[in-house]
Amino acid sequence: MILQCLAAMLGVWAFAVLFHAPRKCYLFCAVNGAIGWICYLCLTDLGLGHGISSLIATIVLTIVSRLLAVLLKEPVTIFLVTGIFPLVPGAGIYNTAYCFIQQDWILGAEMTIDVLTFSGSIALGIIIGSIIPQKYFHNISHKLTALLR
Amino acid sequence: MNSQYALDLAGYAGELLLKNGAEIFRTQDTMHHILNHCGYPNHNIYIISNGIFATVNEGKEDRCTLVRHVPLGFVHLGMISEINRIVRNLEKNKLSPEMAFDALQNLPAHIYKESTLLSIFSSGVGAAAFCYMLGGFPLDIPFAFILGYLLQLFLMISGRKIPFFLSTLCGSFLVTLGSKCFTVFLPVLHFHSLVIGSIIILVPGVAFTTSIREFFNGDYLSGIIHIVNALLTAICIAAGVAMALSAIPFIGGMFS
Repeated sequence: MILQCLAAMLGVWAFAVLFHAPRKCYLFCAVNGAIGWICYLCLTDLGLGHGISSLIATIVLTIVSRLLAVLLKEPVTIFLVTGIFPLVPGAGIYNTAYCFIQQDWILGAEMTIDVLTFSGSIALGIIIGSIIPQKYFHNISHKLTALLR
Repeated sequence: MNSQYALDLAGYAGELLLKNGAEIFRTQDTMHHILNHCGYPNHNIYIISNGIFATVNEGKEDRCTLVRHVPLGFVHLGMISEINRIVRNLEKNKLSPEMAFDALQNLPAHIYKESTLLSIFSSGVGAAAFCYMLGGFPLDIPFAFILGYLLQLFLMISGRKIPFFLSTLCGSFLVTLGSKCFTVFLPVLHFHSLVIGSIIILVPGVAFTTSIREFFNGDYLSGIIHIVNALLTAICIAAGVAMALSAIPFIGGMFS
């Protein structure tokens, strides 16, 4: 699990570099991505389905991104776009193509539905995470900065 | 400062934001802030993913309009953050509009300097990390790194010459072939993990995320533009993999 966490951090760090995120954000992007991925892994370990796990993981990820954005005074996009990569169904795209080429139509259809489920739950997760009004995040950031001083 | 200058400033900031992958909502908000700050609250702005339309002081003598065509470009998060900072400083009166315009125009030169080698390297690191995360074995990791490295190199060289979708297609085709080569020479490696790890570089995560955020903010048209882009990219990746997989038996047949 620790290795998975580190791998997720490294992967998201790499994407932060690829998309030219500001240097001071690299570490936060990485931590954010790792939080999302660990959430997903823990929930699937608990026996929840892939769809619901990635939904909850995305909600957590979106909320953490928004919190980081307010704290660091940077656009949310930076954290959200990079952190989402572990959850994006890249493997699903490959599996779908592979199954169809092997002429395994039933498994191929299953994989297609899998990819759609993943994308749908990520979409829903981002939307649910975005619903919380911005003022709560401002309140939290004010309290945190007051605490740190 | 006349209305034309204010609109030019807002339009320039908006164009830069949009080109570097900011959401519609952010772009529109930034332009509103700039125009309000410059003393032109009487304005109208309409933005879609690849265009900006704006008017200032409609019905008055110094009215002016602005139309910009902004093709979908590459994502550069640092630029978005930098523009954000400049506009915030403008609002706090730390920068005059002229200084802000200067700062915006000098941005591309001083931010785009880093990259190439670093981003090719990080692409390799990304491929290796994702290979491990999605079920790869320790021995696969260095090879996923090599594939990711080569893939990004290919994308960078081809990126300016051939259309985006074609380079995605070729990229996933070549990566799949490359993984097969590695597994033929070193049978201990896992073909699936190698491919899955390295195509993650091509996956349209950004377009997808942006599109969902556009939908959430009510910019349905822009959301559709991005989601279609994401969908086409995904189809190109799948097609590239499929082409390589069906070509492999023929290539194998030639050598045996």
